[in-house]
Amino acid sequence: MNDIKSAKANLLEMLDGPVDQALSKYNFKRRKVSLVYKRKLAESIQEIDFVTDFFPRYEQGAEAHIHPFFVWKIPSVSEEALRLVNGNKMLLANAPDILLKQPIEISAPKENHERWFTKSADDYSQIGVAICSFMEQWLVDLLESLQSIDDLLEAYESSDDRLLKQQHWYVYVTAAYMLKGEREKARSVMESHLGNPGLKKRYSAVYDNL
Amino acid sequence: MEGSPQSFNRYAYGNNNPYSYVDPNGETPAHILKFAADVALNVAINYATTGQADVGGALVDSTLNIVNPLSSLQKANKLREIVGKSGVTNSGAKWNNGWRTADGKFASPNGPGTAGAAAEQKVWDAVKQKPGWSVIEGRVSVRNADGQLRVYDGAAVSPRGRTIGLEVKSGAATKTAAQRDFDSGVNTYNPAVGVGNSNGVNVGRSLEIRVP
Repeated sequence: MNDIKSAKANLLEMLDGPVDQALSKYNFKRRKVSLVYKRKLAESIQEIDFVTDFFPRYEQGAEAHIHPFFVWKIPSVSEEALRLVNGNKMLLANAPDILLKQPIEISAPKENHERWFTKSADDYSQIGVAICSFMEQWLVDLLESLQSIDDLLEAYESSDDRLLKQQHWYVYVTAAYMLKGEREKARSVMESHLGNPGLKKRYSAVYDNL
Repeated sequence: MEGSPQSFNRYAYGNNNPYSYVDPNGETPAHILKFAADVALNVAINYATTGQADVGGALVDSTLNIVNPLSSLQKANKLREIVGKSGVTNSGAKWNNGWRTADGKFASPNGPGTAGAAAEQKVWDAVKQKPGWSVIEGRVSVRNADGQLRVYDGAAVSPRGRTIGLEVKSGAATKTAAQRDFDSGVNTYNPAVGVGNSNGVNVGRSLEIRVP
C-alpha cells in the first residue's frame, strides 16, 4: 500500500507541474489532491479524469498506467433523457449525468494512439509533458467542438468518429433533439440506431415518450 | 533374530513398511535418517521463503508428513526451485506459497507481472484495427443487477454501440467459476454497468479471447 501511496504522490506531483500549467490555459481547474480537471461552460461541463492503474499486472515493471478520460456532461440533456426513460437510470448506464466518457486517445486517429506508463518517479515529468503534448494536438480540438447542445447534434449529424458511441449515447441525442423541438428527428435517431425489435423493447419507454 | 518366527519376516528391518523405509546395510533405522533429512529440508525452505530458520515449525511439519514417502522428494524439488530462482524473479514475483506479486496474487515467475499479460496488448491492437471499433484499455469494473462486481481486462465498443467486456486468456488458462457465472447473466436486457473509474460504461455482452 505504501508503494501505491508514493506512486499516487508522484502522479499528483506530475499534475501539479506541466499538466496544471497546460490545462489552466483552457480554464480547467483541479482540487489539490484530485485527479479530475473540470471546466464549466455555458451549457455543459467538461472533465478530464486522470484515471490511473497503479502497478498494472499487464505491463511488466510499470509503476503506473495513466490513461486519462474525457467526460462530457450537459445537465439539461441528462434531465430530458431521464424523462424519456421514465427515470430508469439503468438505460443510461446508471450514470445519467455523463453523456460521454471516453479515453482521450480516441480523439486521435488510431495510428496516433499512445500509451503512458511510468516505471519510476523520474518518468512522471516526461510522461506529463507527453500527455500534455497529445492533448494539445488532438484533444483540445474535440473540447472546443463539444460545448453545447448544438455541438452535440452537429457531432451526431457529421458522424464524428472521435466519439465513443455506446447505445445510450443515442438516447442523449434523442433528448437533445427533443429539447430543440425536433420530434421527428428524435424519432429518426431512435429508429436508426435503437430500432431493432430487441432494442425497441428495451428502450420502449423512450418510444412511448416521444 | 534367527530361529524366531520373526526371522521369516523379510520386512522387519523397515518396521514392516518397505515402501517408506529402507535399510540397505541393516544397521540404521532409516526412518530416523529420513526424519532428520525432512526436518533439515523444512528448515531450509522456511529460511529461503521467510528468511527465518523456524526449527520448531519444521519439526511439526516433518512429524505430520512422516507417513508420506513422497513428501521429502516434493520438498527437495520445491527447495531447488526456490534456490534456483533466488527467491525473486525478474518480474518482481516472490515465492509465497506459489509465485506471487507483492499484493499476493499469483504471477508468472518468468514473464510479465501476470501470466498471459503480454497477450492483452496484442488483443487491443487487433480490435482497434477493425473499422469502427474502439477499445477501452485498462481494467473495466462493472456490477450486475445483483450487485456483483466483475473486472474485465478491457472493453470494446462496436460500430453499433454495443459494449463488450473482454477477458483475455492465454495458454491453457480458463475463466474462473465466478467469472463464468457473471458472464452468463450479462446480456442486452441485463447489462452490467460501470462503477468507479468505469462509470458511464454499459457492458451488454462479454467475450473471452484466447491467445495461444
